Amino acid sequence: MKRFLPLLLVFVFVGTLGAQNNQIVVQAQGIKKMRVAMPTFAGPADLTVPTWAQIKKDIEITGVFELIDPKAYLNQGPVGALAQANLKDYALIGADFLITGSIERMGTNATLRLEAAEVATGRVISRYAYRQPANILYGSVHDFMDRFLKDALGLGAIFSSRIVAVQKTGGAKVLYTCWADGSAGQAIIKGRPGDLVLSPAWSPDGQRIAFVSYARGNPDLYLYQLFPPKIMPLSTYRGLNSAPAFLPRERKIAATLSKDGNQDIYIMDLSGGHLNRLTTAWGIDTSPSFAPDGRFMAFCSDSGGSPQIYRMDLSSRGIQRLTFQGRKNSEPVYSPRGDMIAFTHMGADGRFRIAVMQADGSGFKVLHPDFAIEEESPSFSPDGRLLVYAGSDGNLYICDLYGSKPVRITSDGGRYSQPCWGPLVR
Amino acid sequence: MKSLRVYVILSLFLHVAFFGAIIFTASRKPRPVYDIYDVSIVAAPAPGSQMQGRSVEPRPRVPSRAVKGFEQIAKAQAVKDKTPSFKPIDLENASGRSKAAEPPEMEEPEEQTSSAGAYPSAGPSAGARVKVNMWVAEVQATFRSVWQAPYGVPIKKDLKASFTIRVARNGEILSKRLLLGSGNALYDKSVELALNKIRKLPPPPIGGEAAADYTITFIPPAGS
Repeated sequence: MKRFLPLLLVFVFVGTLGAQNNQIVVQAQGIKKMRVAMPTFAGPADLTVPTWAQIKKDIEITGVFELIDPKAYLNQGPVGALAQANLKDYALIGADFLITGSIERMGTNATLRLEAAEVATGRVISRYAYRQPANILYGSVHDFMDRFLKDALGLGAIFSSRIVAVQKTGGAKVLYTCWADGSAGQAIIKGRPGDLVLSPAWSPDGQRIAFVSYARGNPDLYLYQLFPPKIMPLSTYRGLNSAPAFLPRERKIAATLSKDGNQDIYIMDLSGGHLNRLTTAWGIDTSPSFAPDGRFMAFCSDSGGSPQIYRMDLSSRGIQRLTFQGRKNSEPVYSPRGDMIAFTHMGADGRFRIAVMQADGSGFKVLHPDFAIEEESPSFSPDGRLLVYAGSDGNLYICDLYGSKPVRITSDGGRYSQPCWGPLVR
Repeated sequence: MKSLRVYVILSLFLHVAFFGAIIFTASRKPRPVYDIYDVSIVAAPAPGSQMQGRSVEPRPRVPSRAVKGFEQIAKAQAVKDKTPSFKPIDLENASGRSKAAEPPEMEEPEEQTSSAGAYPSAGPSAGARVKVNMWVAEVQATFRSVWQAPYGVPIKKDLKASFTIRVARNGEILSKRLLLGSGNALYDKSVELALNKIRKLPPPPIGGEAAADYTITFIPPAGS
């Protein structure tokens, strides 16, 4: 038998070679988002309506889903569970997924049940129930949306994270924080009228926020610890202490200091000691941002005559200019994936736009060249797929990296700026 | 051993007999298809010549009109006397009728062209190819109706995901599996979701097979 086995294998191999090669290539005609249908939820309207609206907003924020207009549904609801839904009704309108929900009030608490299914097959993708005080149901929605993103498309979580920004209110600027979709926003640090609080930056673990404050009449750097709440001075050198940025893998922070007569970037530990100067060229060097592997630092410098983006190799201290387009390029931020840099770009028309490029400076692209509202101060989401930025109308927006329409996450009239997207809240 | 010898001798005998029969059969004079008659084609002797030895009774007069058709030849032979004679027939007329009896020649079909491609002028293989091409175009249109490249993926021209589907003779998709991923989970998932929407394709041209496997490769839009 062993003598015949090679011969047998030859015959099998030849046979497979001779098998008919049936190859078909299908080329897409365009690009589209996954379509989600979501009829109204079952339960008390004071709870179901805002919950449904929050999920609708989160669906838009994802950048990969779009909600089918409920007016197109054969059954607009309420539909409390998948078992009550006829999937064919939603298949007819081209839905890829169906989300149903129900809320049951129990005193001050509420039980929220959410389900999601793939319409074509009826396969249940997500089925979760939450029991919480009724006034914080938004947290359950964040958890469900993160799980739905993972269960349906294998994407990373984004909604269980927070954004810190500067809010101008009552003649003063305060530190403001909210969840990624803009829910539960509140001021966390308030100064006296006339105080300025600027340039917030999250630590990699999400436990601290570094910021600049003029509380002492000088732009000083402070560290705000969330739990237990505590504010500590970090850098109070005479002159400028600004643009804080945490290093990704070390308990250190970078900032722009002018203590030596020129605005340069320094690295210090979280107590403010062990100062290490990184840039020495004349001109203003500011807005440091570090690659997730800690090898490179992107920053803004006007040493070339106008504010442009540069990249420093932290081991060799070699500097490479990355941007040459437009009038100015500033506020660079590294993607958590390390492959891209987003920044504020001023074009020839003098308008500010968010632009992105590859980490080596190639692939320059303005995201919304025709958007009426100007854009600045971008910050990446924890998974690197989305950006939050400040619009010239004073609101915060979230967008993807491919130019689709941004989603506004603030709407209470506050003038928001300098957002920073923090890590996932564990 | 003794029995083996017997079998060998018997086998040799049968072989010899078999080949001998073949040779014998081949060597025999073939039976003529038609009766052979001795025909004297020389002119009749002059009266009073000594060659008139044997008197020959006048042969029955065969109708002088030209014999047309083999069946008429057989009838003419059937009315002859014991010493039949064979009157030569009008070969030209006979060949003309035989030509008419043959089935008419098939006209060459004209070559046709269409936007789908040139139709074959002849031959079954070219026609099968056309059927396959038409089926492929229908399948491509079917998939394009349910799938487009997804948002949220950096679209590059070398991005592609290949799935293997098993299609029954009636077009029903029996199974599907990812053969080669694109490297982007969202892109692969979008293809999988689109495939889930299709349960049946146009019946494939797979002949007598019960089912066949096809590899479908999904690529991004042109210009990416």
